Amino acid sequence: MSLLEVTDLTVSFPTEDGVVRAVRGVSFSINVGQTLGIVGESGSGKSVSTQTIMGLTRGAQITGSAVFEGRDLLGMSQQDLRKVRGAEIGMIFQDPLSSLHPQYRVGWQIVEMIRAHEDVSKKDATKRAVDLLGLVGIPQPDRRVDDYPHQFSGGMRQRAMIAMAVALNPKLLIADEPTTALDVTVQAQIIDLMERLQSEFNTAIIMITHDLGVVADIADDVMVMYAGKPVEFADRRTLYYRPHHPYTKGLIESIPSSEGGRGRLKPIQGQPPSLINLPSGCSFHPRCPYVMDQCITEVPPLRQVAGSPSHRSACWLPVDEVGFGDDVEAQREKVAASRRGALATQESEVVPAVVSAAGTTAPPPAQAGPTDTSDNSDIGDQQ
Amino acid sequence: MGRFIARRLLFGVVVLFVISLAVFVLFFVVAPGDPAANFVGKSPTPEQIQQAKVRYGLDKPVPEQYLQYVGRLLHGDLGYSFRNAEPVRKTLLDRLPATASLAGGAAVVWLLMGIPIGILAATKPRSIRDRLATVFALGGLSIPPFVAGLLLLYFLYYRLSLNGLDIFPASGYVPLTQNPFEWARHLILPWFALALVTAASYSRITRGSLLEVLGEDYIRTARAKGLSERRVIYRHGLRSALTPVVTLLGIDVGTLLGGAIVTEVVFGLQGIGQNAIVAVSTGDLPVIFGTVLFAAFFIVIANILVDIAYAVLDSRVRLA
Ligand SMILES: Nc1ncnc2c1ncn2[C@@H]1O[C@H](COP(=O)(O)OP(=O)(O)OP(=O)(O)O)[C@@H](O)[C@H]1O
Ligand SMILES: [Mg+2]
Repeated sequence: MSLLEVTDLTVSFPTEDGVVRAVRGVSFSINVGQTLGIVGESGSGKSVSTQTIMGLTRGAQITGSAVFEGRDLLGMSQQDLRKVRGAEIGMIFQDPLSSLHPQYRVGWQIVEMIRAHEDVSKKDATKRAVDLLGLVGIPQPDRRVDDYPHQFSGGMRQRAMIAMAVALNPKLLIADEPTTALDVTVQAQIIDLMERLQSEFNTAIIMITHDLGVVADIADDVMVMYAGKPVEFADRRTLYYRPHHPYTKGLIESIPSSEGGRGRLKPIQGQPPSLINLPSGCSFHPRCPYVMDQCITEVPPLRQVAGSPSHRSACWLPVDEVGFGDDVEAQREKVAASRRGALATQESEVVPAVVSAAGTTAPPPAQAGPTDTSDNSDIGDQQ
Repeated sequence: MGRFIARRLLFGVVVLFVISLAVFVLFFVVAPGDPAANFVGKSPTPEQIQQAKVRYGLDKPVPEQYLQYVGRLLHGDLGYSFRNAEPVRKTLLDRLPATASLAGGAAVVWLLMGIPIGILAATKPRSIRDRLATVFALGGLSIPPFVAGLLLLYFLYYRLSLNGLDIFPASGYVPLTQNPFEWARHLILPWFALALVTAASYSRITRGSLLEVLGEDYIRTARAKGLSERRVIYRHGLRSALTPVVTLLGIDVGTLLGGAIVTEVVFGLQGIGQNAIVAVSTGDLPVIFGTVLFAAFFIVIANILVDIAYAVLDSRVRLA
């Protein structure tokens, strides 16, 4: 049985400008000791989905379920959820400076975490805090335990955050872009540290990032998100070498000197769409080089892709053409061209230029309105 | 920390020095007429003026005069009132307890009203209680202390007395050391009259500051740690949110120690402010002059205390 199973999670924020549909049907599961990578551009809903699971999104309309060890976190009372937070699911955030309270000592903040869940004396908890700081590689932990966060370097702060998050030996660690705010060298150290802790304590990790390189290092499986929806699922190797979704390919090709990019840097054109006025059909279609008529009118469901049984992609392109290379490109171009009517021709001409997200969305055709054929029921059984 | 305090104290001394210079220039150099005439009361004889000149060193060149003046200040000599010939310093010190009682008590009242109302509003923004807090703030801000004082007097003194309920006296001051109960009973209406406006503004400041802090990343961390919402708001949120309140409190109390003129007059409290009003209306320059310096002194002290409080509250300040 999986440790955490999220099914059909949606999160919307009513705002003055309209309803922000930040998460629109996310399903995934993660097993004990496994690592799931979640990647996607800024604003794709990575943080909102994971924070919602922990009950940390306020003022949102939430549907779906998130079953952790047999209990639905979304239906839990605040009281019960609090016992899960920190103790059973730890969280690490992007900016370690702003995520630690500036006016309390690092050690105090770890002690507080321990004592919120366990009935131990301050002295014992402090001893554990020192041990934890040592465990995450902070030199002279018995002295640094009395430092304030601003006396730590960026990398040390993130180590301290990790020490706090693993203090109670949680079964799941949610790391929300833990390395984005750090130097490249420090990034690698932090990832190493997390891998070490994972193998030591058999912690499951959800690693959120917009950096596919980080995911390639650590994740077992990867979920790619775009505009609040998962667009591709695969194990790390498959995703990296045989991606199906044009968005995933775009992400890989925009990593400098990646194998996929083969030295050519091809950033994805355009900007992420407005989550209030989403494009019709596939929400990636205004930026997609292969856009076809169907993409504009119908929402692609997650479909199994050739090769690996756990590989799924939400794209209307044929499921047997995956990966990189000129053959694949040519084949895809051919398919796309053959299925491109007046609608998509218009769209695809706009693509090479810089597309402003909301403005270029073509109005849905009068006769064939956008039909939401997305059906996420086939995602839940992943793994 | 020791060095930090020393630096602040030194800075405070410099500020006081600058203020004394400004006051000196104002009263002795740029003031119209013969400054000596200001020190001898109305319609003096030429001999009296000459006497005053010698006495205050006004026959000497200006820089030397200033040095003498600073020398007197250092000895705590603020001169003599020409209304009753009392040493100004003694008058001010005699009246300080009433003013300090008023300011201190009012501060307690406005903190106890303003901060909880601010917290209630901030923890549920746009709720009914937030709106009620806004109404309180707008109401409080638009009722100046003299109106509040007169309203309190009318309802809680006059109307109650008419019905034979002498709960609150209309005026007067009883020293704390003499009878603490009477002290509080005499001050309770002035406290509220003076505190209302400030409570209103403190409730707004607390609300804004706490709302901002509650959006911080470290509050999300506190929640992710599984702390109770109470602890998140009070230990983590308020800790940061009260810093601007502490700053204001120091300045506000410091300012009030120089005299809460309107409230003291409305409630007949023999404080520094009431004394200053009498001095202004009778042209009692030495008293006005002493009061200005006295008030400046408290404001400077309050500023130093605020800086120290800041450093205690926030470790980052100390290193700065
Ligand atoms: N409280 C809120 N009210 C309204 N909109 C919100 C709220 N919280 C998040 N959003 C919106 O939801 C969308 C998804 O945000 P989210 O933080 O999950 O993105 P992300 O994928 O984590 O991006 P990043 O890489 O920048 O962290 C964003 O467009 C954001 O503006
Ligand atoms: Mg995020």
